[in-house]
Order: sequence, then structure tokens, then C-alpha cells
Amino acid sequence: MKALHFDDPDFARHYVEDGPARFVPGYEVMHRMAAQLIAERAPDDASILVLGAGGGLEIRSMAALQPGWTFHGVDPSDEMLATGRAVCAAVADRVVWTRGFIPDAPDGPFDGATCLLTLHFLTDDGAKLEALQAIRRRLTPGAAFILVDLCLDKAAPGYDALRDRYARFALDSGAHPGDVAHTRDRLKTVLHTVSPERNEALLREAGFNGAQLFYAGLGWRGWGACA
Amino acid sequence: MTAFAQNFADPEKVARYATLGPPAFMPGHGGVLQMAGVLLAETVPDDGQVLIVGAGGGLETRALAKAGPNWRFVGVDPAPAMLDLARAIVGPEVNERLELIEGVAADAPPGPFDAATLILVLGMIPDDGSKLSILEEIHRRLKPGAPFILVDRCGERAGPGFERDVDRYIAYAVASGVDPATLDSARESQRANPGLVPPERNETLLTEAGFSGIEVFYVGMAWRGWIGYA
Repeated sequence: MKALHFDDPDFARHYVEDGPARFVPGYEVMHRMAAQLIAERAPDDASILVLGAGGGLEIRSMAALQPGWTFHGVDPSDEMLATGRAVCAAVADRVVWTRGFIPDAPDGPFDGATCLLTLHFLTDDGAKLEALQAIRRRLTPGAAFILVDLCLDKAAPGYDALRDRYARFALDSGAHPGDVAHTRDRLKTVLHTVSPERNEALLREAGFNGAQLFYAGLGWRGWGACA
Repeated sequence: MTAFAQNFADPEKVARYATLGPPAFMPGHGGVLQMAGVLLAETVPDDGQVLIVGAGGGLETRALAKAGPNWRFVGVDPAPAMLDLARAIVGPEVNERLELIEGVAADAPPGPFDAATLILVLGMIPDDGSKLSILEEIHRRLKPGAPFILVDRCGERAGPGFERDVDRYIAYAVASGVDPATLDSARESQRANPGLVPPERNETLLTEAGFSGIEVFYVGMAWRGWIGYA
């Protein structure tokens, strides 16, 4: 990937145009479904906790669909938070940002939460479970939680073939070949992806009920569950 | 050309089908067709022959023609108007490598084909042996190991999630710009649809018809997509 920095004015545009939308099948539509599922259980003036919110794309999508919602976005990366502020400039008065991890989020309680394209950064040595538990503690009982995660089992025999498939989809979407090669490497070196069944077990263990698959696109999986 | 099809000589109406047709109902329709192309391109040769069952409308042929610029297509559909619409949607270049046949899967030529698709069709077919028979007709027209894409809306008419699934279906379509008045009958028509089955049933049928290596590659609310191999 071309070196990008938060003070590079091209970063936000590059992220919006050439980021997740080119790597995640049906990316914008996945946001629509997430907002629809949260709205089934949330009031019109809901307060939504957004984990891994840097980049701002899901907040921008949900804010457009639900004009009464406010958002609390949490992300550890200054660069991604700066991008999120730029992407969400039009709805800045409805978004509060916190730099940090899930335990740094306010207690809430929130009327809904999302954790999109984020849990796979955490190790499965208790960190994933703790994050899910920390989200659930911050939700009103019965509130909807949306988890979307890349679910490639690193120990499975077909893992490298699935990485190739991931890369071919992104290239077909028009992603920059350099970005694709970089991301394909990062799947192995940075991400701690697990199987869909493992994420379902973690959701149950963290106390979420009725997890239901509402989205899948190649290796990506999305669930709606209740706190 | 049928009277219905004359509508599709109008580019505005064609564009309307491409936005307010299936894409307004099935979340991520464009992404699904793109994924289907990426998945088929893994094994289909450059000059591959692809069978499209339910080819009316032409959206999947148009998308797959981009994934395989030299692939040739045979499409079958029982509705002449939808075949006319397919010709309008795919455009002149793709029509050069597309043969459309009025009929059902059993009317398709024997092939053997390098790939096949059945997108938004099986859910309208009763599960009284008819679903299995279509899948078998497709399977016998494929080369051994050739990929097959199935996309379908799933559910259980008698199941506890039926009402919720229909609510979600309607809410999604309305948010896509579909006129709510046209959705009034959706609940009753879905309840009366003998083709609505749970996803596990489709997986069983795929196996019974002889497909293996079956994988889910798409979920969007109650819609599902699978790839399997003959």
C-alpha cells in the first residue's frame, strides 16, 4: 500500500473509495442490513456504540439511514479516527469519538452496538471474549449487537486458497493491486481470524442470545444477536 | 416481441428493472453476481460454456459475461417476455455469445457445460420432487467437477421466524425504493409458496442431486448462495 498518513488529504478519499468497499462483498448493503436489524430493537433516538469505528464508514451509513441516532465511536488508531472525523463531517454533531479499546468506551447503556471488521484483530486467547463481554455490559438488555468478521480458519487446510479468493475478489472490484497484495499478507501476519463456529461460540459465551447469520460474502460472516 | 417485452425496448424501463427489480429485494445483489463470477472463474476455462437456468431478466448473464469475457452462455427461461428483457439487459456484445431458449432446465441442450447457475428460481418450485428434478437436470448437463451456483430465498412457512422474515423482506424493499403498495400481497404469497424451504433443505437437495464440496458464499437476510461441484 502506498504510504498514507492521517495528514495526507488523500487518505480519507482513498479509504472511502478504495478501502473496505472493494474488499467486502456487498459492503454498503451490509451496513443497511445492520442498521435495519438494530432498528428493530432500538428507539428512534437510539445511542449506538460503534467499535472499531475509525474510518467512519458505518457511522456515516447508519447516520444517513437513521436521522435520530447518535453514535459513540471507539478506535485505537489516530489515523483511522482522523479519517472517521473527515468521513462523518456532515454528521459531526451526532458523533463522539474515543481513542482507545473497548474498555475505554463509556458505560452506556447503549441501545445497540456494532463491531464490524474489527474482532479479527484480537487474539483468541481471551481477548476476543473479553471484548464481546465488554460490549454486552454496555448494552441495554435485549438490545441488538451486530458482529461482522472475516472468518477464515487459519488452521484449516484450504486457508491459502481462501486468501487467494479474497484477493481475486478485491482485484475484480478494482482495488489497487498493491493494496490487495499488502492485505493478502496481512490476513496471515496481522489478523487472528477464526472459523464462523468459533465466533458463534464466543458470542454465546459472552452472553449474547439468538445469534443469527444475516450476512455472508465469501469468507465474511455477519451476525445479529441480542444482549 | 410480446407486449410486456415492448416495455423493455425502452431504456428507462430496462434501467428500472436493473435497480428496482431483484436488486431492490435481495441485499447485495450486485455483489452476489460479482462473487459468482469470481468463484466460477476459479475453474471455468477461458472458452467455457455456461448454462444459465432462469436466464430471463439477464442480470446474471450480464455480470458473468464480464467475469468471463470469452465464455459462451446458453440461457433457458419459460417466460418469453423475460427472455426479451434479457436480450435488452445484456447488450449487443453479450448477445453474440448468448443463446436463449424458451423452456425449463429439461429443455436445455445436453452440454456438457463447464458451469451452471440457478439464481432466484428454485424458491418458486414446489418441493414435491420438482426441486430435486431441476437440480438433477442441471447436474447431468455438467462436466464432472464443474461448478454450480445456487442462489435462493429461504425460510419456513410454518416456522417461528416466518413473520419476522417477511417484515424484514418488506422493510428492505421499501428502503430500496419499492412502492409499499406493491408489497401488500407479499406476506400471503410467501405463505402460500410451496417452494419456500429452509436453507438446510436446499443443501440436502444439492447433495441428493449429486453435488459435492457445497459451500455457502452468500447470506443476505433470508437469501442464501451456495457453490457446489458436479
